[in-house]
Amino acid sequence: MSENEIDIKLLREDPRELLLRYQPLIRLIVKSLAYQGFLPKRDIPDLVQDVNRKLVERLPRIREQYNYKSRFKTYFSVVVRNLCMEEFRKLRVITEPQPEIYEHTSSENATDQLLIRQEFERLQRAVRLFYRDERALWLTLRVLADIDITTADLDGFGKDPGPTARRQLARQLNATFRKSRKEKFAEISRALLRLDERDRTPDAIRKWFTSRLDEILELMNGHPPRSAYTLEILLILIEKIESDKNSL
Amino acid sequence: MKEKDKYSPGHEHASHLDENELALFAEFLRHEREDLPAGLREHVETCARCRAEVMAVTDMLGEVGRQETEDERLKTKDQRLRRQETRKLETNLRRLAPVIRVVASVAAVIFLAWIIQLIRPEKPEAGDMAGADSSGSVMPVVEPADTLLLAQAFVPDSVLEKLVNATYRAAHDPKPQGPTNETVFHTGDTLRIQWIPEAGEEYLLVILNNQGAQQAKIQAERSSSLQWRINLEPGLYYWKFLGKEELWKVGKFKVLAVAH
Repeated sequence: MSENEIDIKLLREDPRELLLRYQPLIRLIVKSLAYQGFLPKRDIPDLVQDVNRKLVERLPRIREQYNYKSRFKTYFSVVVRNLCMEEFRKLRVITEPQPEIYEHTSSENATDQLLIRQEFERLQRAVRLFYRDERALWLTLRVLADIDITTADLDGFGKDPGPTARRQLARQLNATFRKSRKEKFAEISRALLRLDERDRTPDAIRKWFTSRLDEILELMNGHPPRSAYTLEILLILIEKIESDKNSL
Repeated sequence: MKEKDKYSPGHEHASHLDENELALFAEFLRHEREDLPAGLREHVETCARCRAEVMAVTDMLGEVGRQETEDERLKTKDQRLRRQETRKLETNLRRLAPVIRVVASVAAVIFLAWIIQLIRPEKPEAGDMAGADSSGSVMPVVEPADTLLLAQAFVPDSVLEKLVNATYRAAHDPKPQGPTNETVFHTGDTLRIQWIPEAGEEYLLVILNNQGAQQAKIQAERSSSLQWRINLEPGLYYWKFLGKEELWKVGKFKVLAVAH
């Protein structure tokens, strides 16, 4: 029996036992949110208690509302997070991020590598949220970061101009290496015209990218803020991952 | 597509993703599922609030997952350390096994000897023999003894051993001189004790076997030495030289059978 099947069986037959089983997860979630700066560390045990009380009350609703599409653990984690957020709103306690968050940045090299990888995965997730713009956003970010564009970067768009045209587009985009942002956006605009249905001027591309970028930065920085990303830092992150990939 | 809420089916809050959908989307972003309803993706594409929610939930799940892995790693490390310690202990025990076996064998023999001593009937005391040097005493016949019983007769008495060579402090010390602790007598040999007498003092020699049972008591009043002809069975014996109220000296000697 898988872990999810055990959870579902307990949800149906013994929800209180399920709650006991999930005590470590509840504590981890509360701790994780507290460390993000939602709550002073000393209040963690109180919040765990409050969340547990609310969960006991909400168990019948959880059983009723869970639609079995995601794993129960994921669903339950979202429920616990939402309960915590309700509490935070009620308490209006928004504190500065805990020092541990900042301490991470001054750790050892291996840990740095891990953090860079984790942050890059966060960036991938943030860009993925934009669905049909995902490919165009990555292309723009890579061109702005002066990363070598391959034909693979030009796959998956609405239109397929064919392999020869893709190679040519890649060459043109790579020719913008170390050129001004304006020239880069002009080339991206030309490439996107061939790759998706939309006809956008370089200026329109710049505006579109700027608005998306603002939101990506917000998503990356979080609320309350856990980081202080700017476009330049994002580009360094992409460059760093790319150079690590090449050095392997 | 304008930034508005396009995704409505399947969630009761009408405009934004509910907990089930947030969970589903987070699993998608964490590569825990391949597919996602297109409508859900389209809604998130156009809803900044849901994007922020999905991102926050995914970040939280990532953080919790990392913490769980770390806890698991620490638990595993702890278990590994415990296993290593147990293995080290087992190795040490294995190395010590021959020594332990020898010690256990010796202990078993000693224990067996002790048990036999306990169940063996006590011999009657040899009785008083005042004014020793009884040359007419009958020589004991040494019967061929069982090896184990013979060995038992030579097992030292733990209490008396502590008294042997102990120093006794008093105003007057008769400085008794008797057989050394390594002396080996044969039946019929004579045991001699000398001392410096004190006026009004009485001196007494007591012979005990290796179980502390009295074998002979020799009174030596108004004398500076005494002699006693040994008529004991082979074994380890102790002698005690006593005053009226004092114990002056304790020694030991062995008696062996006369070789035929």
